[in-house]
Amino acid sequence: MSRLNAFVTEAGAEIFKALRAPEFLLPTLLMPVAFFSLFGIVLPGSSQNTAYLLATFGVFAVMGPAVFGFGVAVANERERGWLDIKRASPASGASYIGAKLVATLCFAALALALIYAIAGFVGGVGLPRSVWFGLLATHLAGAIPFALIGLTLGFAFNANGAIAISNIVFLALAALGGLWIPVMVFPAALQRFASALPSFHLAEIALAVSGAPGERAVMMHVAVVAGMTVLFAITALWTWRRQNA
Amino acid sequence: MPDTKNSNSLSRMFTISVSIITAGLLALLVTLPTTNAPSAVAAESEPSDQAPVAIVGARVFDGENWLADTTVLIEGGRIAALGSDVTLPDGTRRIDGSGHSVLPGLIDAHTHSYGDALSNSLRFGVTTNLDMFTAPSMLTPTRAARDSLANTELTDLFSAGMLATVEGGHGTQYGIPIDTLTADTDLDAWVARRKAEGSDYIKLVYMPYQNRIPSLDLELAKGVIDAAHAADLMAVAHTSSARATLDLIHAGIDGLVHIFADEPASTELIAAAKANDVFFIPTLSVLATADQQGEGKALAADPNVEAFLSGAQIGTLTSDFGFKVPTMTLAGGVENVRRLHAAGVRILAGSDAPNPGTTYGASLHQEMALLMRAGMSTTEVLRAATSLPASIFKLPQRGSLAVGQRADLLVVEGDPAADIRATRAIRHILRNGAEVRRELGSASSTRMASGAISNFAQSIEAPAGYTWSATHDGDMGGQSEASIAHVAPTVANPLGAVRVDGEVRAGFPWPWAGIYFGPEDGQPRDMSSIETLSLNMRGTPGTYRIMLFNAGSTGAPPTAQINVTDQWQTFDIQIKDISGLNAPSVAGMAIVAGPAPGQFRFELADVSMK
Repeated sequence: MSRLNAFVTEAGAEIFKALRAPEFLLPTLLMPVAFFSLFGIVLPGSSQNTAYLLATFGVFAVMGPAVFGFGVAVANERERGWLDIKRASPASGASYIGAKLVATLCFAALALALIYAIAGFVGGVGLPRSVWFGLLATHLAGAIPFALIGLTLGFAFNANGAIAISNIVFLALAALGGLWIPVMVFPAALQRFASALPSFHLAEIALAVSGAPGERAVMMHVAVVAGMTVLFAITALWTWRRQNA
Repeated sequence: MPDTKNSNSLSRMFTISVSIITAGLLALLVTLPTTNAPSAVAAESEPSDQAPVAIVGARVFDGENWLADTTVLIEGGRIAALGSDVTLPDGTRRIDGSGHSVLPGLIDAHTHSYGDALSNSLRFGVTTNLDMFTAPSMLTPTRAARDSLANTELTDLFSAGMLATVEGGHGTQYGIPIDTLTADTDLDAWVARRKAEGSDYIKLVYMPYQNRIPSLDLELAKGVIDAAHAADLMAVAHTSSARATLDLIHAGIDGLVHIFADEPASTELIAAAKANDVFFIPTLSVLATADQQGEGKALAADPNVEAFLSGAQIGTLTSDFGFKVPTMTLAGGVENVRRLHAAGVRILAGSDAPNPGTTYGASLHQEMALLMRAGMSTTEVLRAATSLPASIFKLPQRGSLAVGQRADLLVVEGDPAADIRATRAIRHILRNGAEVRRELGSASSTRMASGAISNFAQSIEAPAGYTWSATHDGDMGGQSEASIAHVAPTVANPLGAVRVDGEVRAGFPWPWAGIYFGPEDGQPRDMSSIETLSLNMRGTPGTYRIMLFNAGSTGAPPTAQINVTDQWQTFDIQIKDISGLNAPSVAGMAIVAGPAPGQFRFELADVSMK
């Protein structure tokens, strides 16, 4: 079996697995769009902020599949000994991670599609075509650092711990990173804290791409996200090595 | 081998899922609505398509001088005629001007716009605010709105946007993120960023001779002034001392947005201000608060003002700084304005609302009264709140009453030339030619009766007080077109119809074309007793939008979509399902094609509200 075949099969299995257990999949897909509809469309006065919140909730939408798809799933599989079997099998670790990442991107894309559709067709958000594409690319790319965070959690904690920790990390990244409510309404101390979170920087990049009012040092945010991604990759690798040892 | 089979089906699962998701995403991305316009354009874009209005036989202040027994005719949101012998078209709404005075919409030359700033200002006849620092996010929607002649319940805004200050300096205490300056800042790039955000001029804070908070130094301040001028923008400054003011006059500042009161204006300073043609916006109103003069509380108790103040406005008017600043006395400020004015230095009226003791709109009337203490005449004070700021800040079609100017004006009872406080006795405010509702809340909106709103069996006349008309973005400079025509009843369609022909064309950020229904007088209607909008429609197959306009709103209009085919269909739209609609105060409704471009034709029949 070629490497590509192994990868494709593995990715297919990931998707299949998720579809077989929709009780895990659906909440991560539906919660972002439900929150977005509430904060960005339904609540009084929110109709003026729909376009702004589209950028930040897009980051929120990819975070769910990435953090949970990796964190909880990897911890589970590790605990059941599946990872040991994997390691003994000829399939590479890279194809295991790569397949999970592809599946995560698929589900992140679905979550984004829901939000974009609600924003465009219900919320009255209109963006130049190139901006819609740019926003999608930004949001999808944003899944990668979160997936690495999830991976670290999955390697570092057992299944029960991973669920709890993933939830805390997920909610903290969302709320404190300004994905629900703009950071600028936070107290100064929380604003400073937000700049330590990848979610904040990704939201700022998405806001810049969507042309939201305000001034942003986009390249700085890109650099910070890139740096954090490398850092998370190193942590993920380290936790993986540690549990192998 | 079962194993291979299983792995094949998993591969297929992968290929199919990824293909479906990719194709679905592409399909979604190419169908999502596109526009790069702020949504305000759509909300504000309905043409003020209403009967002409005339104020007959009033004293008129045209921005410069007083004209006796003059008639002002307003059509299409602009002043169509002005003089003692004006022929009024049939159907003109007449406002009796005897015993009344007409003033151009007032201009407050110093505000900070937050919250309901723009609607609060308008209720007191202030139709343009010159903002001296606000969050840059305010700028985009207001720039679009101020070019429109559509009905609106908001004041137009011109603004400095973000201000030039240093980390920890004045202006950084309000929680709005500031692009602060250091000695290393590329000032041309800084000004370019402001220009890109929509700043109309540059404001800087220069407070060097105190050690309470940090400030720009003179070199940096001069750098900002030069960079603004290089970018063809005016530079104005906040200073609080005579020395700082003189520094900036020498550095080439265009205007000062406060009067200093720490020491009397020296002949040197006055001569320099005169020589460099610098203007001052004294903001005596806020100086009075710092001096604990109680002017704000007095204004809040004025019967001509009190009834129109919102709770938040009363709050800021009756508050104060809580301490008295020794270097900020009203008498000192008044004396310095007196000296500068006497020397011929230009003085503009600005309130600095919503600082303690001031509020949007109302405080400008008080500022005019305070400026008179500095020896200005009523006419000079009125110029300072109308034509003078319009010419200094190059505000298009504002600040004076003349043919072709925007019909932003107020009708007051009495004679402000004799007593400036007469400007508070406002009887009418016209904004883009439409009457502004001064009352707070929505209780006073006329209820919209249920029943048929069309009678297409006979004609395209709407019920009394309402009108059906074609609407398209061409009125806003777009390329789309629409026309409406009556379709006589036939056996197949005994109710008759109105036919709308048009083409939605690119060339405008948010193109639309269709038909509009709304009150003739431009006043909002209370739709809260209406449950269903029912209409019959057929036409070029596709999605059409029904937009309902919230009075005074700058947000995207609440919209329902309908899918029309070439067969007649009845659409019952539940009003409560239209998200974002403020049913007690609705300005009108439009049924339009767009934003996707293309030719269309539709027929509309038997429209009713139930």
